[in-house]
Amino acid sequence: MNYRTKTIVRGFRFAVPAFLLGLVLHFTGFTNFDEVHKMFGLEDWRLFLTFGVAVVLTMVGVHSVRAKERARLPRGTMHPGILPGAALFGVGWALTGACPGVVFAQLGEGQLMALISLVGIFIGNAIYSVAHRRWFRWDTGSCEAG
Amino acid sequence: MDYLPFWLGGIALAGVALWMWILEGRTLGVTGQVTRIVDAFADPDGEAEAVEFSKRDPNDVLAALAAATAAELGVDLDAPKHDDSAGSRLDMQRHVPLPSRILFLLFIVLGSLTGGLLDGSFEGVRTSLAEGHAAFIGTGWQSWLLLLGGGVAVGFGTRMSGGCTSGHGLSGCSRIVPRSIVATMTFLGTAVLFTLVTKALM
Repeated sequence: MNYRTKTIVRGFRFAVPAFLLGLVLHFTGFTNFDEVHKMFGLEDWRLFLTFGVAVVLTMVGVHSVRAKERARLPRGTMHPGILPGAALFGVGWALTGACPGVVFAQLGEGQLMALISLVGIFIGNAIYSVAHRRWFRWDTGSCEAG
Repeated sequence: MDYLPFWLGGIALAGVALWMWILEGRTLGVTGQVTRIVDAFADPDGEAEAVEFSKRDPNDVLAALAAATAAELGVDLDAPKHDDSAGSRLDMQRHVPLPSRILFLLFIVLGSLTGGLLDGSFEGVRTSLAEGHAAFIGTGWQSWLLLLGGGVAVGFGTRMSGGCTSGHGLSGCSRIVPRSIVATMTFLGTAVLFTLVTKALM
């Protein structure tokens, strides 16, 4: 296979888990503002529990398979942006019902208003990129996603 | 419609994260894709360089690194040979090109669309907010502004803290990464606090 074909095959393989993520976000109700709102209002613990079960099972999985590679992964630094960044994200998520993965799944369900949140997410990401270079400049370690 | 019970949803979500880990050798994270896409558009030359670098023969890369190291330190060095068993490329060459990242995000859209068609909940494009959402953030211009502002907060915040629900929450917490656990507690905590306080004030 030449480089081009390999890249295309790799690209589609890389996108399969994304397809599954969209399916799962739909069937768990993470895409539904009302469900997320009930979770954050502490009225319904289903989504919190869903997330908890997922973390525990993933923990078992990543500690059992490819253990050597996992040990080599960067763990990032505890930089000053973690707390304020996560807090901003929390407020944004509570308002829009969208985290960066969910917003695409909302679009797939035909929720056109999610397009506004999506545009906001890209704008926010780009603004941070500029703000980081101008003002913050702390070492963020590398990103979680490959 | 009925959503999956928590245990089944949890198994499914873990399945996605583990698919990425076991079959691709990568950790799942959506913010990472958004960030790289933004960066690739902001710096097309950097993206082209990374793609070019990932195409090079790993043995050539190792030879060049060894030669540069030898020159810097003034010693003789033999370049190590690339071990194919760990993959056809070096870790540092595993750059995911821009089109693949865009495809990744589009496939999330396709996934939920397929889900909606399978269970019959897809009713075409809806231009209005769901009732509960409208009750919380209003309608018309106000809701547009709050959605945009909330989106900017999500985009800015996730890049600032280095991950979102998938990267920090799912991948980071499961690897027991301290900063991911702190970030996850913080974003879930502020989301709960913000919701409870706003509802109390409304």
